[in-house]
Amino acid sequence: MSLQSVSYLLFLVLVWAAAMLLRTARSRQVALLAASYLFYWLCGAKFAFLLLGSSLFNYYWGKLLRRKPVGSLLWGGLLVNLAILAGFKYAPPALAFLGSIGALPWQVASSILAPVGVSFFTFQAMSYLLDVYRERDVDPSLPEFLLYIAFWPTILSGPICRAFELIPQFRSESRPSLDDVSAGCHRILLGLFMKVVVADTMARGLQVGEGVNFGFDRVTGGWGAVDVVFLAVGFGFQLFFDFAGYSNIAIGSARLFGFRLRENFDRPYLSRTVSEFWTKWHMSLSFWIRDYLFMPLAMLRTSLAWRNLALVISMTLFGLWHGAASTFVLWGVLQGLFLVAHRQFQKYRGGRGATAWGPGAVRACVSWALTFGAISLGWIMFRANSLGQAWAMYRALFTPSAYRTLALRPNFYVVVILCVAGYFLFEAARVLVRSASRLGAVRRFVWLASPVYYAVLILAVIAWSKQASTFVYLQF
Amino acid sequence: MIDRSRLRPLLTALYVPLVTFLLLAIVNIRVAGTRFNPWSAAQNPRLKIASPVEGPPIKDPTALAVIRPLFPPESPLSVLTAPFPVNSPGALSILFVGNSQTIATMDEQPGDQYAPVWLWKLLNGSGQEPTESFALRIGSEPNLTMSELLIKSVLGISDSRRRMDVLVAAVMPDEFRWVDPREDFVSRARFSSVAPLMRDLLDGMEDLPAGARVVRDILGSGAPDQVGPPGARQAPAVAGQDRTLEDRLQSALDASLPLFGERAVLYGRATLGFHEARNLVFGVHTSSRRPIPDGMYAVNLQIVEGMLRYLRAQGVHAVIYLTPIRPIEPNPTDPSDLARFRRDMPALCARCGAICLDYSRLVPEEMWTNYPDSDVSGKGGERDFSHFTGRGHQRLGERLAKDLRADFRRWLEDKGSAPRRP
Repeated sequence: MSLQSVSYLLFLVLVWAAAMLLRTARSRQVALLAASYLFYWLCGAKFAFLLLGSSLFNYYWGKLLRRKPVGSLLWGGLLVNLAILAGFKYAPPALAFLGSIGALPWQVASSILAPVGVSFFTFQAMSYLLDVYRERDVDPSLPEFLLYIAFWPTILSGPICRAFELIPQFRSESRPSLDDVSAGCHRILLGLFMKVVVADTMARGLQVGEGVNFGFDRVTGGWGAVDVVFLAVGFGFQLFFDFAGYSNIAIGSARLFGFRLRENFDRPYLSRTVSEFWTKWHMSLSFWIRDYLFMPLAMLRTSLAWRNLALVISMTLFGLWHGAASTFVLWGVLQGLFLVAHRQFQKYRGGRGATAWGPGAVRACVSWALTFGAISLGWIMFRANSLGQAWAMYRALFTPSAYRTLALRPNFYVVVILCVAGYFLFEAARVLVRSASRLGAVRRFVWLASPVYYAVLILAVIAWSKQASTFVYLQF
Repeated sequence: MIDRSRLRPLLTALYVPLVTFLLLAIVNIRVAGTRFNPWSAAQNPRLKIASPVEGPPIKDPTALAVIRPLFPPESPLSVLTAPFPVNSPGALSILFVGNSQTIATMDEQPGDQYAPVWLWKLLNGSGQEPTESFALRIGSEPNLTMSELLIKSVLGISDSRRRMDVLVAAVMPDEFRWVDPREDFVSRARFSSVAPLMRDLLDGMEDLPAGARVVRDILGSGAPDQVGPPGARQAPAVAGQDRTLEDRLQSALDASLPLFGERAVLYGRATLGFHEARNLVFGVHTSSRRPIPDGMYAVNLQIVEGMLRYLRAQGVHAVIYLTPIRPIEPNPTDPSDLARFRRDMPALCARCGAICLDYSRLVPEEMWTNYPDSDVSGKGGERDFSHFTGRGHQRLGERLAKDLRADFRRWLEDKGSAPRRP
């Protein structure tokens, strides 16, 4: 069951109706837990046992840790979780590779699947153990903890939640307000539009063979420099609309029940520095990495070099989290180096007491363009099918003659331009509407016109829904 | 009595959902009356295209996948889009595949026929069943890409009782600008009777990596254009798990709400609108040059080579002909593309034991036409570079018959004298 399917919407309505009939928080927890396992079972029946096993282990290990909060116990728990991750996430690609070179029967290799959402629920479980160790504990009951790990809006692709944020909400006796339901519906609809209409159009094009996937997966060399730029920017936006769309559906689904999940995106492409970008992109994971990996690592030593190294290590593991591929690892290293470069630049300017150059608006534009360029260049490494492909694409950027050729269909360039322009226009319109909404007349007009906006969104989602594909981040 | 202080917030809360629902209901009613034929949409209004018709049900899904009924059941031509006859030494089964050029006529006049119909008639004399020695069947579809041609060719041999002996494929440079098959082709390639043959074909493409990748993705478990980065390939176990439930729900919605049932129409209209706007803004005309990017050209050549190798291994004769190109400038076909096409395709066919015929200059300018001035899609008065008149079809059909008759007869004789295939 995918979050953009009709069956999911039906599932959501039925679970919501059932939850509304239940009077106590405890009974709602049990109903939501059953719904979560049903949802996960529909996504991959055989892995529900892994989810249950992992949850039970972490719950009882957490109890043990609460009684005796020592480092060795914490490490023991973390290592078991890392072993689950390694075994189920990184072993299948390795076995598939063995199958592809004939070292393993093809049928065996191709039948091995990674459990859906294993990266996400394992990270939630590890954050729980770390929080118990740090005594930031909410002492959950078993059903509460099982629900925290298996909660269906977050199980497949996050947002990665923290127990101390989510479990108190599960305990709340209050029911969702009209605002919750309205906001939830809006987020789900917006998410569907972002995914089904925008992200899928970017990925496959208006017709098969005109999208980002074609540029990366079908063109075998011969990219022009302009192609590479458009593919980098196009993939960055595809990923954003895909994953932010998913996050909106997940957050909206939880909000229908009155639960507020962590946000995953906060207008990342408006960032003016790489550091700022990483506080706005896949926030639930980047803050996880910051809180549970970078900070403890950085505090081991006080030297600047060590802190920079900790940053690179953290971002490398961030890359590795996406999968066992050298491209992901190098992408992480690249992001770490960008962050270090930014820090060093700040330090250099601070040390020299340098005054600001040029007008503020120009500075902001240059800073934004550099950040956007750096992040977009990084997406090539992230999306490339091999290091060789990434290298060939980067090389095209620095080959003057490559600026004369175009390898992709014209519609691809038009769609990327429209999508990027649409994103920035939407953000500008949002700021304008927000500031103008102080005026009662504007607020009333926006409210009166909003049905047209919703009807257009719904119509577009319906029209595009026959072309729909799965979410990119389900792969991770 | 109604308490106004309570009514107002209620109405306020209900305004947005109710009005949204009302707007959608209006669109739903409007969509219910829409008529849209995807085969003829965006085509030249002067064009008569053979599009699928309701005919007697064909139970065998493989047969249905190879051909579509394009002629009314009462027409004598309906045999041309019927399943192949059961294998027999006295009949040569020929699958004729191409894009819309092969099944569309400009300014149709009484007596006009499509080129494959001419070929069928000329080969068989009066050409009536059950005496047809050359059982030609038309499997053409608009915008047929090379990967779709490959799927069609495999479908043509997937039923061992009704197997094609010869493939005649019309190949147009313009279709080399695409690679991936459309989803309905992918689903046909995944039939249980077809997928193993596709895998056999793939085994013979080890030295054609780019083409092999396309075939591998056709066979893959995800959607055809759903290819992610490495290390992440295993995951989408999600898709397809609940296909039955989802399909049932989708079917129920399709049947009960025109808004859902006509989704493809809505999408088609949206993309048509996009193209018209794009053409207007960028000044794109039917004669605007459409070069084939090198990467796509190479991948498509590999796909054709993989297909021809496989057909040869299966004992199927293959004929590739380069389709007629309108002999006028400006022309969307880049001369350098045509040159390499005319150079590479014969060489490729020679390597794979296939016949290659070059008809790129066969149809003279007077057998082509333009869009009518009254065309509303913005192409009024422009040249149509894809389709020709009935006279062009006759010329092509006669030439095919002339060039292939001897080979067809020889193959028929060989078939009659060959031991029967198990």
